[in-house]
Amino acid sequence: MITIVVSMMIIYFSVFIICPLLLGMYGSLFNWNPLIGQFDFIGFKNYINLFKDKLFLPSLFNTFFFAAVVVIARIIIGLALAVAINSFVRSKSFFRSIYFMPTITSIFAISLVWQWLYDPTIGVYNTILRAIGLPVLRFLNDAKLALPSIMLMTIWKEYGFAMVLFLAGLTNIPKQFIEASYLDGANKIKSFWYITLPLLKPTMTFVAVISMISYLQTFTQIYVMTKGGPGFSTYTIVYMIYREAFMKFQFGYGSAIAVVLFIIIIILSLIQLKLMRTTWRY
Amino acid sequence: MKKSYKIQWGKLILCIVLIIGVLITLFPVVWTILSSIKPEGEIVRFPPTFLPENPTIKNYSIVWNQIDFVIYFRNSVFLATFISLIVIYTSAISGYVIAKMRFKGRNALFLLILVTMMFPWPITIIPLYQMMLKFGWDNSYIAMIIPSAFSAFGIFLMRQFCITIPDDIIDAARIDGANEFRIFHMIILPMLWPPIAALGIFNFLWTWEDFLWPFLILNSNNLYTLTMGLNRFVGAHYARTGPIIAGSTIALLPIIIVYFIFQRKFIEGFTLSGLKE
Repeated sequence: MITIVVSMMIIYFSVFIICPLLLGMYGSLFNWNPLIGQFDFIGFKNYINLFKDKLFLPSLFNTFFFAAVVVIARIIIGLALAVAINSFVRSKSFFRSIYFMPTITSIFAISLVWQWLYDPTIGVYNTILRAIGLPVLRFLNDAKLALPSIMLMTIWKEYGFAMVLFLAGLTNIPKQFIEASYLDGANKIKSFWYITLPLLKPTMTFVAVISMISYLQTFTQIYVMTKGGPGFSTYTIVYMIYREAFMKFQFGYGSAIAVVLFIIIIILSLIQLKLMRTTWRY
Repeated sequence: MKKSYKIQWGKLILCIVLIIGVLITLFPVVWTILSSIKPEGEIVRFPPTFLPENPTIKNYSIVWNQIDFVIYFRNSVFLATFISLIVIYTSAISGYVIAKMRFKGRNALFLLILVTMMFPWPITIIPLYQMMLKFGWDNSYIAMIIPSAFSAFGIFLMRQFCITIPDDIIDAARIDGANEFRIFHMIILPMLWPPIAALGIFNFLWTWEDFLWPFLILNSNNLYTLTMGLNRFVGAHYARTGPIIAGSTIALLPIIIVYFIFQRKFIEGFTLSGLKE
């Protein structure tokens, strides 16, 4: 039995994961257009063109901005909610299940829905703004507001997951630690900052790293809601890859962008892990 | 006495804040569901109504009958369920073998599998797509199922779980004459219920909401998934908003209902993955 299982694993991961990765990296050195059967070696030309591409810098900036803000918001809101909910023993599961709900929804459907909610004429968000006397916001049609609008939706969808993990982390902290700190004279805030927070560091690290990796690859929301616009204000790296590879059929160029993304993810993950290394011990 | 009075106030404010948060969290979804049964005129009306004045199922009948959502929904349910079951099985058996069987290169294999979790999907999707064309798997469910048959994360989760299973149980079964096949299926598998539930839920949700891969691979209308059905509303500037909302609700509501029924399992599944890191 072992041989079958292990062989199947090796076959699967080689064929469907490792091979594509290597092919992608290799193909990034080619002028690769599958529609016309083109596969010409051009060395690093794709990469050079990428750095000259006027979409690259905006995409990069948007992606970083998006990822950084949403990750931080996710952690802060998730933590705040977890701490708040944790003090209500009886209503805990009620609050927990409601706040977690957006996380399990389909991102495509949610993007469609929020696009409608954000609509300047028929969207209910603007209706509310008008009702309280504020001016109408053009949200997704406004170059300055489009990306923040998408970020807001993403934060709404995602804080539940962080909250649930932090809640679990909080319940795992032995009560004696907190009580001991009170005996030593600490107040609630000090106890939180010096005892609870450091003990939650592993959870925070986990949430930060997986969130960042996920948000650096933001695509679906952009595709549904703005298609990179208005202008280039919501272009993300993966949306750029999508356009180059699957709309213009420049597989080589798209792969090159993907390789750059891969490198960025590795570097940022390593940096994050180093920054958030814990040195506490029970 | 004074102290407990102070705490009451703080808690009250906290409670109010939390309830406001609940409303904020629920509002977009509730608004959508309510709007889906409003006639077109009422949806775009200003000032809007909260509860529908003239509830109608017209939006749903358009989306269900005219826009083939019945087909898309069925396909999504099938794919999500089937792929999840496959992933559960392959992850369980792989995780068990890696956790409990000794063989050459075991740790290297496990490490390799873990490393693949770091590969961003945009980099593998381009060559993978090319591969599907080369294999002739495009526009078929084979391309949807086979490339998703194994999950590195699933194997990781199962392996972590299997490690905690005491060897005595397995050894006892071996002494009793059971072969490895039986041991895994009769003894181990039933013990893996928590990660099976977690993995099943993850995979189902992921397949249900997956867009780009089905979009690239599938060309025939009768194979399309729910997200591809919703894709017809993207940038199409439909004259009516009703169908868009009804279609979205079809994608959202069943999942949400199942979620609220099994919320414990959902939340435990997600926390399990976090704690096992």
